[in-house]
Amino acid sequence: MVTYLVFTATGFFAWGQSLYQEQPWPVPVIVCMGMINLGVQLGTSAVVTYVCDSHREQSAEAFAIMNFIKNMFAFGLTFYVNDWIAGQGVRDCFFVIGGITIGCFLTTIPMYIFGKRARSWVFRYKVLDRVLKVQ
Amino acid sequence: MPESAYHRKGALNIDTSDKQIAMDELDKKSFEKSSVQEVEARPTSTTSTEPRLSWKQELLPWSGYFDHVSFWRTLLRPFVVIASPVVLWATLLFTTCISWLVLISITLSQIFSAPPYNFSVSAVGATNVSSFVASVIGTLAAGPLVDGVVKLMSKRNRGVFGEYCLRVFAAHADRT
Repeated sequence: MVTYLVFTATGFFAWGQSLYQEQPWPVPVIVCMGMINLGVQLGTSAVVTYVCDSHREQSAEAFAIMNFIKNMFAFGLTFYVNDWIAGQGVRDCFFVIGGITIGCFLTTIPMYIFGKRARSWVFRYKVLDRVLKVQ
Repeated sequence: MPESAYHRKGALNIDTSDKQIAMDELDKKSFEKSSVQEVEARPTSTTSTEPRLSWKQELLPWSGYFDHVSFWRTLLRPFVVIASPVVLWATLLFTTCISWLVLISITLSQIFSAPPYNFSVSAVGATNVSSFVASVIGTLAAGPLVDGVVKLMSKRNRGVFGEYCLRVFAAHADRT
């Protein structure tokens, strides 16, 4: 997960900076975008593996709800993104995105500490048993 | 079309704990004097409780559903899973991961059509090739990475496979 953060955050900050400084096109296109996509692949693989391993029977429903929320967010994103970039400029916009990525990564730390407790809470209080029992 | 898929309720119930007393008619006649009773354990076979279709109904090309799970309940099942903190956190990270890719692809044309780059339309499309190559490399690398680290830690723990996923995340820090 730290690899994800390193690649993605570096990629976003470098993308914004290289576009601001108008560097020749291989720099943002090949290097920065390559790093961003590499980091995203690592991150999504790790997250989905974790969810499927911790909720084995409900992994299909968990993945469905994750995809649903992701699609809703991406759909809403398409409405304001072009105005945001045109208004704030490429560099500041992608620096904000890099900062949000770092912020979301920081939520991994409490998850790392309290992960076992969270999973045992789910199984002790039978939070998800309604999903299992309904058949 | 004649249908052969039914709900057979007792077919898989081979529980041998309940026994049945079976008296054949033939045995009853031939062994009247000794009146042998046979105690057997048999699989309970119940006849199908669905009505038999008439010949005209059997000619229809479609004969309905055989699964009685409620559709609306299945539709609402994923929304209950969000109550788990694991799924909540995973949704947050997954959403932010992928949405930035969507954002980049939306703004790609706006960024590269303007000066100083002045890409033509097909060149803007060609910038996605680098993201494709990087995704392939990332997919090929991510699987062995995650599984390899988990295997390593299981070996060190002498074969106990635990929930090592978050330690995998931290273990990546050893390699960066």
